[in-house]
Amino acid sequence: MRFIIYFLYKLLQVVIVIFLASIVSFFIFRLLPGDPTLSMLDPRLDPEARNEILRSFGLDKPLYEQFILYLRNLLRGDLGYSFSFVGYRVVDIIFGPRLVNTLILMSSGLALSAVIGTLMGLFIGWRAGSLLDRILTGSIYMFFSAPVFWTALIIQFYLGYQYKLIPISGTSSYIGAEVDLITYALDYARHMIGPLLTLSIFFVPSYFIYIRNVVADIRSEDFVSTLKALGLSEWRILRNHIFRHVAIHTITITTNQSPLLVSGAVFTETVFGWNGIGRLLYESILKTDYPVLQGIFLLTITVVVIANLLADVAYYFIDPRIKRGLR
Amino acid sequence: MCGEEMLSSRFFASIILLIAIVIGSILVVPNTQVNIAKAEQWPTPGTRLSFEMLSLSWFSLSDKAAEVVAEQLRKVGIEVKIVKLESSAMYPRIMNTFDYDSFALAVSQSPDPTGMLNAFHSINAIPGGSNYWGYNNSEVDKLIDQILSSNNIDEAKRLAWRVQEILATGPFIPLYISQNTQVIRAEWKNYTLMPGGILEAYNRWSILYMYKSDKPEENVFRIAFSADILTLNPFMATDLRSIWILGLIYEPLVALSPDLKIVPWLAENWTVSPDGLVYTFYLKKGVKFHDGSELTADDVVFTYEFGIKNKAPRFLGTVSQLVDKIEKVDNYTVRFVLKKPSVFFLTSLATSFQFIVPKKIWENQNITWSNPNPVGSGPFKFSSRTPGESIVLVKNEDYHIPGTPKITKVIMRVIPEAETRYYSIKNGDVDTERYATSFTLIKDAMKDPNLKVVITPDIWLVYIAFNYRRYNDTRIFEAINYAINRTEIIEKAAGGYGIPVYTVLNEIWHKDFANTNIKYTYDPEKAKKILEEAGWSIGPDGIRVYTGKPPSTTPPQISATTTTPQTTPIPTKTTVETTIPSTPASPTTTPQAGVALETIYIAVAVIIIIAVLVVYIFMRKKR
Repeated sequence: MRFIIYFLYKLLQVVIVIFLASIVSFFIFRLLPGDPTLSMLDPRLDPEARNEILRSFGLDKPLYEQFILYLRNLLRGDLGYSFSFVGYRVVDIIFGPRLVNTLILMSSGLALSAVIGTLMGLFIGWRAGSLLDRILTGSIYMFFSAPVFWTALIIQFYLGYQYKLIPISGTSSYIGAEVDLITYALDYARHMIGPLLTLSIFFVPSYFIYIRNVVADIRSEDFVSTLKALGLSEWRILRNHIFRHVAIHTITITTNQSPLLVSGAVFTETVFGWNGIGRLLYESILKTDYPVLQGIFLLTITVVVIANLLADVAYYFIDPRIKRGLR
Repeated sequence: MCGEEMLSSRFFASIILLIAIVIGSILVVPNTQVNIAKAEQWPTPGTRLSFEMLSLSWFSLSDKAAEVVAEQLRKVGIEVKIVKLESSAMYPRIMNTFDYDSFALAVSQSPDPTGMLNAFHSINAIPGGSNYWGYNNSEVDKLIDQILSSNNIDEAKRLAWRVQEILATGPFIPLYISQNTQVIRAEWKNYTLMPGGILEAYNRWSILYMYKSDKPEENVFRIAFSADILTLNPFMATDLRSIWILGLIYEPLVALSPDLKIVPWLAENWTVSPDGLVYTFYLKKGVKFHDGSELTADDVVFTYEFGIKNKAPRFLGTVSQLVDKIEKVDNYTVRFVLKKPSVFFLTSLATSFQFIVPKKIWENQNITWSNPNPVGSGPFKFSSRTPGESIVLVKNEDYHIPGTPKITKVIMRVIPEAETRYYSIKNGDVDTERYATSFTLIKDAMKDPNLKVVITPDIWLVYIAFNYRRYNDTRIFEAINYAINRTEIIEKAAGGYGIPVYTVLNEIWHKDFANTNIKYTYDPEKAKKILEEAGWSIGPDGIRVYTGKPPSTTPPQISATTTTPQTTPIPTKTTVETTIPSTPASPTTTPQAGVALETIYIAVAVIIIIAVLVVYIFMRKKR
């Protein structure tokens, strides 16, 4: 019973936050300078056409009327029509192949980075102060601070163009051709190598640096000395004892980056022509596509809030302090 | 941690924050107030000859040109301060609020001179109109009206030459027409060269006759676009990317030949009545839509009536203004009756991309933006689309021009990044890209034996323009024309790929309508002389300062071409005569006031938000 009240209370918070976010999302994108019609017009077109387009989007109405219309449609689950993909509904644009592409790319990117970063952090942290540690920790900051755009272009130029190891851009080489699923999946995976590598170069350091420091601290604790004195091998100490301390940090970092699962990576997706939400976000800002921007914003907020809800529920069972706090 | 307390304080703070954001937005967002500055008494003694020049930061053709112009004008004592802006910040200032001194930009060209001429008519000097520079000259207005309602092409040409003479010292200073440097895989042959490039929307020929192999199945043409197209709806297409794709699926009545003459397309031939009011088109027989039905006069009449009735963007402008009614004479004959004669009517039909659609499919539809499955009569049929990624078209086997198209499949792929597009062409992933490749990559492309660079004049006319509402002394514009070195601008801004232009109309696009007598040679000494005579002498910092008498008492203009009534500019208030004020009145006071007001709005919004945040933090501490 107590859990149900706790859960309902948290759920109420979720609903309030999402509602507030939906209101905010209407206004913050209208604070952007610009006019959605200007990005879509052919300069040879008659100026009268622009007013027609504004009218067809409802942008000739006063702001408060637009807002009421937006809220009314939102309650019906209708996010409206895109300004830049004309004739397409926002839900079809976001919840289509784009979201799938971004989810696949970002989840594998984050998972790969978490594994590599954590493992590197474990072993290098254990050897903190050694020559290897100093070289790696120093140089990894370089990777961390390299602009993603630049990294992506370098990978694309050398691996894609110079040595032809990976496709240069896109998600598929079989556009307009019939292929079976396995061939398609393999081709898709090949297209993912470049973006994945770029993402790893960016995300691995953040895991690595954090975990290395944690391990370097734990290393000098009494229980580690005891374990060493008992004659346990390095591998067993790391795997059975230190890793437990470290795993919680890996999860924390990953949770913090969870919005990226749906919002995508803007630069990586743009350079590699990956048809995902990140690129959509960037293009929508350039084209002042309010409905799509609102949709992405709401989606991201919803994912974050629901992730937090799930975390809260998990804490309820894991952390006894929460149960007590509710009393 | 008590739930209720947390709920109340946070909830309260969030509500206040929300209200603050909403109020702040309302204060900042509807900034549609129009601020029109007027050239009341410019210049006054002591005014520096200095202009702010807006430049579109991502459009290097005009952005680099602005930098070179600033350098060159500095040498004759004119200061130009460049302000780089994004399109969303720049366009409203030049189109709606007229809050600028000058700007550098490019305008796309078409064989129809109507658009270029209308940009100097005073009725278009309104927010949203095409006369961005606010040019106002009753003689020019009259000439433009005469040209646009003339029924005699020679008379129209003569008048157009006269307009160009007057506009040669106007606030619009053309610099150059860029050249299209199209990079294409070397195995492709038999494309047609035309102004705009081999793959411009006007060019209906390349895509019909291009091939790379004798085996049909190998003729797959893959083209990279920088962004996805806007729509597949031929009535609503407003961007050139959509129009190119739609031009493969649909067809117009008449088209342009490689040398920009009007040639038959769906209309086999036509007759014009002596008074120029009735155009009768005889349609080609046996043209079939992709669904197998025949294209007849009904479809043509329906398309035009539907487009004009629904105010579809492609049918606004010349056609909707000129056409009185459209009649079906028989199954293969259509008659257009005009309200007034126009020598540009056929040119307009050939250049406005009005594509004929099947009546059967469209008659029961309301006009919307979507058209998920386009059916036209063109050389290619729509096959599939993934928005944001690709479009696939396949050959129309029943196409009405025998033996064409040679290409069996057209694949459009979106590759957003310019370098990526280029390396995809180099690698053979795609055959070419939609727009010209940047001249910085052309050197590399020239060295690659697998690539070919096709150079043609492009659609962009790069220009600088001054705000005539603020500055209406034509002698300054004339001096600037002499002070700029167009060859150097082309060299630095376009890598040498450009053709200098001196008049509003040009020979490349408008042929005989371009006044070839007007030509400015680079002559900084002459520019200095003109400025001296206009009362501008070099000040202490090398920038000219106005020391002369007020414009009304200056001697007549030195140039033979500037016979325009320069002393009757914008109708100003009667208070203009009340002499020149002793305090130097800056012409930019009006817009500055507007900016200040806007700043206050933003400041208020920021203060409210900060105040709410402080309250929020304070409440948290109390807890």
